Amino acid sequence: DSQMDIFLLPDLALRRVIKLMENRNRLRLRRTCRSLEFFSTPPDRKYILDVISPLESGMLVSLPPMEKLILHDQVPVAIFLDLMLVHRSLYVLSDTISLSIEECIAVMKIFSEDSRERDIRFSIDSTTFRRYLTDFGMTDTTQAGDRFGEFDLIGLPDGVLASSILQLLASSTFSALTGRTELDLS
Amino acid sequence: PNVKLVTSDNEEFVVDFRIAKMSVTVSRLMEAMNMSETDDASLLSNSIPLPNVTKAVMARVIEWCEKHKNDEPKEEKENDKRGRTTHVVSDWDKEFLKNDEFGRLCQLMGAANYLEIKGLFNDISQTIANMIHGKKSDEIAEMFNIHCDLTEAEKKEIRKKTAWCED
Repeated sequence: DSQMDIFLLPDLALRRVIKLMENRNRLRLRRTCRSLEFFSTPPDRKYILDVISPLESGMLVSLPPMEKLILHDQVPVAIFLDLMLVHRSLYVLSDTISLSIEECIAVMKIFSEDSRERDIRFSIDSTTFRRYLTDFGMTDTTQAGDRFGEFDLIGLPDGVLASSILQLLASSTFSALTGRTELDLS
Repeated sequence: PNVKLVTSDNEEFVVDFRIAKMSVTVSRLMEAMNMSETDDASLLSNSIPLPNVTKAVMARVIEWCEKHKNDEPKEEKENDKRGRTTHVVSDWDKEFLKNDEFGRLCQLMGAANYLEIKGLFNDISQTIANMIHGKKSDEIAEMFNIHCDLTEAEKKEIRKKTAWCED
């Protein structure tokens, strides 16, 4: 039938057809064009997955987007970054994930390029981060308002450098990232 | 008792009251016009205008309703293994719909939607879903003449998000 045009279907009908399709077929339909990608994406559904037993990396990275993904086991940093790209909230319960400064910047890039509302909280080893900031000229006379690389220092509640808390605004390079990042340097 | 239905192209169809009642839209209109099964005069003096349905499509709708007028009301079940909604198209319905060109199927679906005849609407929806079943993205695009307007980056992103559904 050369006249087949799926967009002849009323919107409600197209939604109904998509609802009746198996996930696999629905996702294949998504890939055909922008309108169908929009139609085939359930707008209201939020999934939470709690992964209690270890799961191989290949399976982890192929999970569909979750509202919340909870992992009870350690994952490699590369996988952690991949998961962060896909899932809105990511909890790793087993241990902390150690990031180098470059990886920390990669995390911030992921968040700055993401249009979803997201919240990031992480702790950074003080010596690592202090080294990073001093590389950009942080000194004993540093004051709120000074800029270090990607960060604007917006608060030193406990005093210069002796402070265990630095309030930083990362917005200079990553223009979309305007949230306040509070780093616990204790 | 019979009910008169008038299509957009001014064709009058006289149908059994039970068939008219299979459409929620027609039922509501009859109620609004005080048309009752026990009041022949109200049925004779009124006709139901259906400006969104043509004669050709109406004939198909009535054919389907005639076959299903004695059916028990079906409850929709979300009962397959994955909690997905399922609808079984009977052999008669498959035969009824199989020779319709896709354009006519869409018109019939539009009418079922407007008239609120859930059984017919679900039959056609499932028939179209079955046409897509098992086909790959490029085969679906070819079948429906879909021009892909996704960028390579978007395709890559979707592929990444949907990799889990591939074999």
